[in-house]
Amino acid sequence: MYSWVGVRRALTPGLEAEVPYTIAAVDLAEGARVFGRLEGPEPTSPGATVTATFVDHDEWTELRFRPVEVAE
Amino acid sequence: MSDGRSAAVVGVGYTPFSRDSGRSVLDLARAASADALADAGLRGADVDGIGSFMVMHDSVKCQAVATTLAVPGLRWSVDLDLGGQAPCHLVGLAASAIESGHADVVVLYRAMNGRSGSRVGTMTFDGPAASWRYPIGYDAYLMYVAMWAQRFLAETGQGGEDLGAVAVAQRAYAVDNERAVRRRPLTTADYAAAPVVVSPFRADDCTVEVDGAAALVLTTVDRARDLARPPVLVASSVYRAGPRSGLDIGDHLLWDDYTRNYTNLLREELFARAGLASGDVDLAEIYDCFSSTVLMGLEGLGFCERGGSGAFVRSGATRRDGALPVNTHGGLLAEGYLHGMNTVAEAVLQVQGRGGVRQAPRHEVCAVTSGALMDGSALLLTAAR
Repeated sequence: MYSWVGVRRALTPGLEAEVPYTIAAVDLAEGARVFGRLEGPEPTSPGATVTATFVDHDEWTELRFRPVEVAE
Repeated sequence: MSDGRSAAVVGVGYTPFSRDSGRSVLDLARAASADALADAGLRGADVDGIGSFMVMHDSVKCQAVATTLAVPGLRWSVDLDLGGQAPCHLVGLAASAIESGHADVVVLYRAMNGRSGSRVGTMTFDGPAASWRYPIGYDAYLMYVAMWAQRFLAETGQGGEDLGAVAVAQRAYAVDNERAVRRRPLTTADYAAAPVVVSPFRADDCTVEVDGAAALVLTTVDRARDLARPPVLVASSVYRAGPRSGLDIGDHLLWDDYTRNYTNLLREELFARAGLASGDVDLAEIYDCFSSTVLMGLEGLGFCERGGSGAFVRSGATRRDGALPVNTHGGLLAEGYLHGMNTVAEAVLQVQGRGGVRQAPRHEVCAVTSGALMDGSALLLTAAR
């Protein structure tokens, strides 16, 4: 996890029920950077190792991350 | 190019900044432009160039504003499709036009009903990059700057107290600025007591969207010497976008390093063009849609060591009596989010010595920046001798 933001207040209508949530910038082992929701509590520092999961929605599939170990 | 054709800013104009102007954007643009012309001792009849910028059609075109100013004709006109990266860039473009003889008197404005009308902070941008950001709730400009700020603070060993120091220092200026929309004094305790909106930002780390307009007038230094105000020379202007700067202003997916923004990229050219160094700068007006961009700008322009910007601000160095007064209008954080055209206007007033109680004691050389992340622009403005 290269960086992250914890969204405590919904800034657009429709997301009120989802806060708080975390968006992470993740550098994949394969070489690209992607953004996705990060499950679990908001991190306090970058660097955690995370793993990808896929969440099916009605018309799209979401790339989501979850921590696999505690960062240093 | 003779020295006499060197470009100078000779007037600034404003409308009041408010939450609901009750006026059209065209009227705001006209009023600020007319105010800037009057400030310089010029009229619409003197103008032959005009420039502005807008984000997603939130403003009015130069041709329309020229019509309201009764400009007899245009030799130079530029409507930029840019946001906060634009003001210094636009000044640089106008200065080039003046120095090359393509225009003699240029009006630049930014006008918007940024609070009651189209709000950039939560605007949905066009394009393919937006299609993957919005569904996951990565959907506001605040979040993109926050994503950089988190990494920047972590990697440079800084934290929330450093952001707070920026907000507190700038508010001290705004208390004395009648244009500012946030004028209530702010203490470190006040800052820390407010909840986090999007980490690491609290409310006072964020600019305030406003309705309003600001304008500048530029001409040749020769002509400027006969006008009402002391000319402010455009000693250097630079625009820079780094590699893979994205598909829209919120698309930083392919940007490698969130701890260094465009200020790092343009610093060398900015100072070289003027034959100056960071140590020659008397004060700085640094673009601050959010507090973190002040810290990044201080480091990017070489006013501080990497990781030293927070300590620099906390030391009082950016206060009026400090080594480098910064954002003497209170910044966009406190004066209001006019996308940095007001930041350039403040720089002009300071170099002219018209800062009133907010006047920096030394004001021969002022650095100004426009922009937050992948691309932006900067100026060195100097007092004409």
